[in-house]
Amino acid sequence: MSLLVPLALAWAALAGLVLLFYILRPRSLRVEVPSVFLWRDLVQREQALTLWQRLRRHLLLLLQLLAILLLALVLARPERTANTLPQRHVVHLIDASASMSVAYGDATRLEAAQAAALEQIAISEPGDRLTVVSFDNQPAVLAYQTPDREAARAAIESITQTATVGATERTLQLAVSLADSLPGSEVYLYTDGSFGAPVMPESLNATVYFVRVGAPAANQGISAFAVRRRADSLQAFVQVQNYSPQAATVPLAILADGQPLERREITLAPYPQAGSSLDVVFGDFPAETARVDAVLDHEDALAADDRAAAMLNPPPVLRALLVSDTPFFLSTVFGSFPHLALDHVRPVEFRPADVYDLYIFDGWLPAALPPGNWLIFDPPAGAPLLAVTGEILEPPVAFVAPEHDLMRFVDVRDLRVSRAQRLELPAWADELIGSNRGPLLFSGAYDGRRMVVFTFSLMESNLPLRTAFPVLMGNVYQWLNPYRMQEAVTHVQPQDVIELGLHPHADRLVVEQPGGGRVSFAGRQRIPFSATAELGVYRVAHYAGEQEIYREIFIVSLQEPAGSAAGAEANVGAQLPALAGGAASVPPVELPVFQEIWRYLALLALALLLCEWVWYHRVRT
Amino acid sequence: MKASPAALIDHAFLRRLDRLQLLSRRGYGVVSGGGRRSRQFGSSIEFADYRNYSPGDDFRHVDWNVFGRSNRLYIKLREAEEHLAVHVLVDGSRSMDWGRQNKFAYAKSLAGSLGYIALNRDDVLAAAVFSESITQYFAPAQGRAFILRYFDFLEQAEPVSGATSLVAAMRNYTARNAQRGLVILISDMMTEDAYRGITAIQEGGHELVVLHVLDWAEIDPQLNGELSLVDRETGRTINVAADAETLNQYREHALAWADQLETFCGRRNARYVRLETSWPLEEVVFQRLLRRVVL
Repeated sequence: MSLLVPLALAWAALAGLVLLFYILRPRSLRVEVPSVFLWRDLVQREQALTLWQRLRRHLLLLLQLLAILLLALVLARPERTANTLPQRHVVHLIDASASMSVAYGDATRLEAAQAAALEQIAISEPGDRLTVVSFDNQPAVLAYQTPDREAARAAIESITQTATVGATERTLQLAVSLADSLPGSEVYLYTDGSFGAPVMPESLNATVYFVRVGAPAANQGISAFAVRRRADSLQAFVQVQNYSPQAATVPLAILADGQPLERREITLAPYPQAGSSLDVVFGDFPAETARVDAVLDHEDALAADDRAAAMLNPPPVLRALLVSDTPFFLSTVFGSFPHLALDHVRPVEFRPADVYDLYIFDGWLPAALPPGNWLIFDPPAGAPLLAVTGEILEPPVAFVAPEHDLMRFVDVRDLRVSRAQRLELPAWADELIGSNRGPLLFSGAYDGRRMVVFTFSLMESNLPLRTAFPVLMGNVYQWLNPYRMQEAVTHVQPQDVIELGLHPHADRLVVEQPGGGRVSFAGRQRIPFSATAELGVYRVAHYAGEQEIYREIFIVSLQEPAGSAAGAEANVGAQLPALAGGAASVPPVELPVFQEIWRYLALLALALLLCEWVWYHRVRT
Repeated sequence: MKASPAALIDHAFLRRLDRLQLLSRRGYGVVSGGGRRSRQFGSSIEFADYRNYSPGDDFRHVDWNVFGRSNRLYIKLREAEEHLAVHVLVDGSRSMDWGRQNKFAYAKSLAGSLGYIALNRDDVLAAAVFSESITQYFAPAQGRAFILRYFDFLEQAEPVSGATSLVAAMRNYTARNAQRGLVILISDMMTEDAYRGITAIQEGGHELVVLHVLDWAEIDPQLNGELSLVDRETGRTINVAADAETLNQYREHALAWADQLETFCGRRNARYVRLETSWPLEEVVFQRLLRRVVL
């Protein structure tokens, strides 16, 4: 037996109080009798009574002490362990991934899976523990070991279709942990089996039943889509996949800003033969096109993979200001980058009110760094955010961080620096090139703004003359470009996590979801955005106050062979029976069950108090 | 508590007492005109027997009629009448002054009844109220003429303070009245020296009748709870948890004590009658005392 609240035993100290009351009992009532002659003999005889007889004389005290001890024990909530056959624990794993939206009879596969699960719930025994988990590429526990069949039924009915690719690995891992809580559990996996062959966890201590929902259905889908900008035109690459065991001819159309541009009939070989997947190139359509859609213009089992889109807004021009007395190298290299408008001023001409996306300070810094990203060369003593403590003469290159994005393809083995500023590396910075006496190049983000710092002047090094210079400056330009997402994010899968960064001049951003939902973020830290379950266009608006100063767009679409394979029914029937046969059947075992017994003790305490009352009022008098 | 025996004993009751006589198991030699027949020959008018004349006999006792017929001298013997010396000793300690029906008042009524019977039968009656010693004394008296005085004595008798000491009281009483006779001890006997007192009375040559007066509440007290029992005589206190078990034990103990007293009296050839104050006096006198051959 163990106690859930052992500290509650302290209430037993009240027994001491009762004892004290007995010791300090009230003054006896004085009663005059003719003589104590007979009483005296009796009292003398009582003094010779045994301990037990004396205790019997204080039966009320004993009963009260016992009642207090029992009540203290009740408050401590004792529990005992009893071996008993467990009630069944049935885990219902229901696939809600995109492939489950395929029609199956008069309903979808998901609805069929829900109906099958509800049937299982209906025939479950009263007291069975029911767990309901829905999954796509992530499992979600909707009900856990509930004996309430209505709650389990409601959980199953609450499952909604997602546009995400199904993945069973994590789901089965979850099933392991759920089943382990009660050995001998039964796991029902309701799925169309569109995922790849799942690996059964060795430790799965349960009997697994696969409930296949869905029937073979023809499906062809766009498995990849990309648009590439050429010098004066755009080129689109479309990969079309046939998931059906029969050959199919499907119409593929390209839309530019919603207007049909071209339409082709594509003939695909049966899955999984070679030729079931075909790459199609559409070229030379207007460069000013903002949005390109690829559409399989037909009806099949899964509509979600019949359309793909790409946003092609022209990248905004980056405004940069070079503040330098010796701008030659920097103006030359930065002037060659596309979509960059570079202005140059001398330090004495710098005006903080001028707004730029990128500031390049060479050998000089203003008293306060203006909003934006910063590239700094040879920071002077007293520079804001930088602790310049002296100079380093001819520092050798002793450390390079080649894995950093800024150092990609940069070879600095022959870098020579005649003089550099000695700086303490800030806590928010990463050292990229260092000497044994201090950093030569570091980068980092401070208050959401990016900064790259060269501790030396280009004029006092051989860096501008090395081939690494334009490569390094190109990396710097990319890294400091606040509009980089536009180029980096091509397409997003449902429930992918993308990182959003606030524009240097914005104070908040708002993500508008395809369904009309709006999610707002503030602060300069980069934000992992995961609410990408909906298919469609997401707009990211950056605001400075109430003014929208910049807008980004990304598209969430289903362009993955595994996701569209939902319709490939050849997979379904082949895999599931084998899995079901391979599942170990574990007989139910006796489990230790913890039962709280405070109710019985409370009843016993009540009975004792009743006895005490009866003794006092009926027997004693 | 002041109680009048006369108030308790009405005239009808007294008239019924006229027929009663205190019984003694043995004769006591007060052979002068008493009210009861003596084993000795005396000078009463009741003829008993004849015997031959012996020189020195009183010629007044010669039956001259028989001499005339037989010419022989015979002395006419007549029955002697003796007086029984009755000592009524009433316990006047504080323990007797207790009870719903006061034990002392009950004892005085009882003493009044028995004294009346004695005086009515020409027995010599002496009485005393005692606790540690004799506190009130009624000198020996004989004849109905003393009845009212006797009642007055009882009426004025009061319980006194102090613990009962039967031995000391008897010693004190003997010093005043050494005439042997029938001692009627009316007491609750709640004293340490009860047995020694009984022995002392008998050693004084007295015949003893113990009338043990108790209130039933002394045998079966109606008490409850934690109590300090205060002794009326000594003021001594005893703390008692008066629960059912304790009261049961006390009841058994009290009954055993009374039984032991009765047994002791029986062994000592003393008559013992246990009386409860709830019993009517008439019932006690005409039933219980008659049955125990006291009357």
